[in-house]
Order: sequence, then structure tokens, then C-alpha cells
Amino acid sequence: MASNRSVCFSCREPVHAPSCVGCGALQPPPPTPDPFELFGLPHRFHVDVSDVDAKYRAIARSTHPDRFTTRPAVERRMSLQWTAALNEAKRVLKDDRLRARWLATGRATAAEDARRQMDPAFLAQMFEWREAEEESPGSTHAEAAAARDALLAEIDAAFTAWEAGTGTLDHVEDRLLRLNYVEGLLRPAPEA
Amino acid sequence: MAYSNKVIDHYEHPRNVGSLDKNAEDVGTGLVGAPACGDVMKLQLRINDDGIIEDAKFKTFGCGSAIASSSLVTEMVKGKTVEYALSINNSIIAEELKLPPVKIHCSVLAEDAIKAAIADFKKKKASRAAATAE
Repeated sequence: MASNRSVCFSCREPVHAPSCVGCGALQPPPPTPDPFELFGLPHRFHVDVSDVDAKYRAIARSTHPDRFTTRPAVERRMSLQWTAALNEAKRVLKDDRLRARWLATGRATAAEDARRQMDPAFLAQMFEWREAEEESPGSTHAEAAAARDALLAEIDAAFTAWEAGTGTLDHVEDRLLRLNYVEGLLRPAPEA
Repeated sequence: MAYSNKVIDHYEHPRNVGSLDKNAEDVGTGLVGAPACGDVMKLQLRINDDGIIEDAKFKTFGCGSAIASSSLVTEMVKGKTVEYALSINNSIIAEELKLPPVKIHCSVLAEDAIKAAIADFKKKKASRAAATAE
């Protein structure tokens, strides 16, 4: 957390915390896009959500805008930056899909061209199920729910192996994308 | 979200919905999907010996913009050459339908589908040529 800055912007003392020990000035949040690093959590899919909340509160306690209402404008601005960075990191860390994608790809959102790598047989299956749904709504729900559960189990197993140092995350993004298709079948038809 | 009149028109009266025989020698099939929203689009072209697209059909499971994009491209390519069809890119579609930025990927999907259908047709033609040469 906040370890990759060197000196305080205000008094030039070395800093290792959100606020400078020398003059108390709030520093900007670290530029890292890594939510785990920001929260000082290890890179793991299996996280304790209460741990995420505890870390969030701990950092927010010293960076929250309420603490800076009487401080200089530059610190008030930095406090807002901290809030934005913490909220975004918390959003990723507390959401299974976003956390999984982040660990597998270093991004919380799907790559633009990910569609080009989708297995044609899988797409054909999805198209077939969509057609069956059109004929008789709900007819593929049991199969789709089973496919969803299998994908979730596969993703979980991949992370378990990876956390034990015995597996890779190579297929995680593909399985996350497949989940989107399968879950599309389980949702009611979208409004135009 | 506000859709343009053109999107609504294509959504309410989609052109060329249906399918062609995917096993026919002169039919190319493109099946593509948008992983972000789970939409799937099938687009088929019947192409004659002169490289003219005689017929185009599509079936799309997705939002209004995805349906309108695929409907529009089938209209655009009918009676045109394969070269022309390959020159269609998503920005032409997006501009024609006045798609908002969040729906641009729908037009990308339609472009991908056309290209996939033509690639499938060419693959069939090449394997047929190889079979006759033997």
C-alpha cells in the first residue's frame, strides 16, 4: 500500500503511508492499477470479503474527505482521488467475476477482440439453444444452468490449483466469456 | 436509451430474416458472438460463380442494435460483389444507424459476421477445388 512513492509532495520527506509522517499532508493514491496491491492483499481469488472491507475501512479512515474539510485544496483533491481509487478497487475485489478476470488478465473488463477466439462449436451450441428458447421459452434452462454451474466450478478449480502453485489461469477468461453467453439464456428476453 | 428511427425500423421490420442451407456449396455461413452481452448472430450468403451475392439471410439473438446492424448489412450486400461486402466496416454500419458509442460493438459484430460468412464460402470453394483436382 502506498509504498511506491518516495517523497512527500509538500515537505519532501520520504513517505510510506497515505499521509506524510513529517508534515501530515495527504499524498495522492499510488498510481497502481492493481486493486490487491492498493489494499495490501495477496493475489488470490479466494479472498475473505470481510478482509476486503476491513482493509477498505482502515485506509478510508485516514483518507476520507471528511477529514480534510479544513485542509488545503490540494489535499482535499487527493482525498477525493483516494476515495475513487478505493471504491474502484473494492468493486473489483468484492465481485467474483471481476476479481477472477483481473487475476487472469490484469484487467477487470473483457478484451475488445476476445470474441474472435471463441470456440465455433461453443457458439453453435449457444445459437442452437437460443433457437430452442425461441420455440419454447425455458426449454434449455436446465441444461444452461448445468453449464453455468460447470463453468463456475471449473473457474474455481483453476484458481484453487493456481493458488497452490500447480496450475495456470490460461482458460479463465474464456470460461468467463462462456458464462456470459450461458447466463444470457437464463435471463428473461431483453427489452429492445 | 434513444434509438434512431432507422434502428427502430430495422428492429421492427427486420429484412432478410431466415436461413439458407448451410451445407449448400454456394452458401457461406458466419456465426459470431459478442461475449460482453452474450449476443449471437448468424449470417449467411449465397454467392454465385461470378462472385455476386445473390441472397443474404440472418438470424440474430440480441438487442435492437445487433438486429438492426445485421438486417442492414444483409440489405447492403444483396446483389453486390464479395469484394464490396468485404469492404464494409463497422463504422459504415454504425454511422448509417446512428448507433451510440455503447452500441458500436453491435456493428462490429455485423462486420465480423459478413467476413466470417465469406471466409466460410471461400473455404468451401477451396476444398471443393482441391477435391476436383485430385
